Amino acid sequence: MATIEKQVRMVFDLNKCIGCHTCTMACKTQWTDGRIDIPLENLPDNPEGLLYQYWNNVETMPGRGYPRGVFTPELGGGFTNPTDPDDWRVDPLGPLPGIVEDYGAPWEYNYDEVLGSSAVDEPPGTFPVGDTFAATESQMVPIPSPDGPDAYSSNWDEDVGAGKYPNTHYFYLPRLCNHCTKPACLAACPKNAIYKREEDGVVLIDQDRCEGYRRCVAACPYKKVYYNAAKKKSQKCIFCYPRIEQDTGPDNLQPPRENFCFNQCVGRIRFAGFYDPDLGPNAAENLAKNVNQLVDVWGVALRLHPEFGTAPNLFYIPPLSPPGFRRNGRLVPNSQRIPIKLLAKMFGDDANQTLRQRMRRIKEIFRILETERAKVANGGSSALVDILVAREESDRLQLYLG
Amino acid sequence: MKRVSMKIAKALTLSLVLPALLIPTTGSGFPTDTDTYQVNAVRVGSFTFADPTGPANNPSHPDWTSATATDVPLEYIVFASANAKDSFDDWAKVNPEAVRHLSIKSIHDGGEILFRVEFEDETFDENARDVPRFFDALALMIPYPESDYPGCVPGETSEPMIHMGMRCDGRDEHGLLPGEPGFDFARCCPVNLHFWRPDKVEVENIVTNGAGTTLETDETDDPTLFHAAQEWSNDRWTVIMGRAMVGPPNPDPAHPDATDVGPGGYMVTLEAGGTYATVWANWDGDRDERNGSKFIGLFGTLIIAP
Repeated sequence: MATIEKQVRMVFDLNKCIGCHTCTMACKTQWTDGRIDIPLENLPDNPEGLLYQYWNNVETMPGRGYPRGVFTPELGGGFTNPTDPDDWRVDPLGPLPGIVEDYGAPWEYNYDEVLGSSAVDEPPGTFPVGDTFAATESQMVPIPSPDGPDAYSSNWDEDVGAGKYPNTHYFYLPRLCNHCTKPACLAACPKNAIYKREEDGVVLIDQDRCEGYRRCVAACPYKKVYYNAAKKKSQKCIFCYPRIEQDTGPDNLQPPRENFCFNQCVGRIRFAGFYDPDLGPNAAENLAKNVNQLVDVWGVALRLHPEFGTAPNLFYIPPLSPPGFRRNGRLVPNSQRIPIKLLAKMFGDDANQTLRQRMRRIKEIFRILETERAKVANGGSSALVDILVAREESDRLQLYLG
Repeated sequence: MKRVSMKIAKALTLSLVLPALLIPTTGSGFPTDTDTYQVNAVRVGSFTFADPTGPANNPSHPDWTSATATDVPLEYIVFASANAKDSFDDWAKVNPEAVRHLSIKSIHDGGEILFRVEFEDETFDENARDVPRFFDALALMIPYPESDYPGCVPGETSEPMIHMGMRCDGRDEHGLLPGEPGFDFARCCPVNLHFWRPDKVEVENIVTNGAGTTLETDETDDPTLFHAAQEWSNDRWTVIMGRAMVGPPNPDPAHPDATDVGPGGYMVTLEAGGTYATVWANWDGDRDERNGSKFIGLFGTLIIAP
């Protein structure tokens, strides 16, 4: 694999996510909405096979995830030896999720009805994905509509959560391709169709080389590679590279270099920037980006399921939660209603950490967050809180810094 | 004629992949012998691909009765991860208990050649319209002859066919084996694949130089070059694959950049009276077989009657 000059890094502050799905819809309308004909090379250029794909999605956790059962042993994925960074063996023969059963049947907004504007409501045309769920016009509901005990679709578990009243709990988990440092999808592809861009570490699929074998879908433990059944190609998040590459132009009249789901994030939970692996975490160039401050300096951001060994470049600040209740209804002091163990099963630093080490890290992160918050609450200041508040868009979307 | 753009294999890729594939074959279950079967292409009167009642489209046509069916056993191989990344130590698994049989007949008229292939398949997998759905498929591999690529002698006992799409003796261009001083990287001989899938209207023509290194895929809508007819009934596929015995000239003036592989427009030229090494492979979509997960045969000989 080619040397990566710099690696895109992302941090999501789960304490700020409100589960509005604006990121999901930004991505959907930008890239996988069947109505849009995208003329760019290397991108899906017709609507067929795209509608079921949510390159960005928001899940409610605890939950079954998207697609159903992601992160369960049944769906598998990841590396044979996840703790060895030099061992690229994967098992690309694992089971694959079904579109209707696991991802959710494709559907399209009826823009005319939703927005009252026929101007944007062009039928997406024939949608020949599957024998039983072909749609020929805009649909407000999936076809077939989820029904019965096994029904499922994207975001099926919204706000369900877990726990027994009054200690019920949930949080939102936005996900997209992690643009991993060691992508299992890349390792699994027998056609060498998947590559990491040298200039930013973004993982892309060469649509000309791809043969639709779906080894990548099986190997990605995050299930963030999708199969386009109409084109017989695998597709995935492209980190909006055409937008990022777009020049700001004279007088900054053009949109800035931002990926769309980050740009549209209502809660401003998303931070993006580059990390130069050659310089190391203490280099001034790296420290100038807030993503690196959060990951390397403050140490408050963790990877999602690092045990798969792919070294994801999307980090999450784990969610604080209100105290739990005793049976007598009194609050448990200094407690977290979302069990630390539950979070530790999801988040960690790397593939080598034990569950106990992860739990210690999360407790440490919570202490840091609470301490820094308290400083501000008491009239002081905190560099960490300043970053997390992200008063300006340029504080969190820093791809422009190069 | 429409051609899909050419893919150039990277030398680096080859250097990573090929040494890793050169694993010992003794006892591994890989094909290590040749001439295990012979498919005799009988000469019949003339036929055309387009004739709906002719042998190209009618598996019951009387011309087929003059041809002898050859049983071609295939073994199951999982070629799990052919990516250029390293660590192929356990890339291949062979289940010696699993054998699939093709029954093959062949006829030709001097201009075109047909293969009538029958095989059992309980499921009709003609589409891949969902993530876990895969196609049934069939492929015939013909290495380019030694006269075109000196040193590429297919199918010798010491030179096993390892992967559909490649056949290497493990030596580099100087005849050196891995580990010997000066070893560069293993030579890989170009091969010509004819690939059938039920959703395709014709056989796809592929030229490849090894695992993950497809040199070029030549798809054509010229009905005089390739042909496919198919029928699935009683848990059994009957497929008729056809091709012109001689393809367009090479180099092709329309594609001056694609002159490095094979004569005859990237098709191995077949001649009446000639003999050719061949390998067959079969994929069952219902078993999630695709790409490197397949049943594959030993080298056999195609004997084309004068």
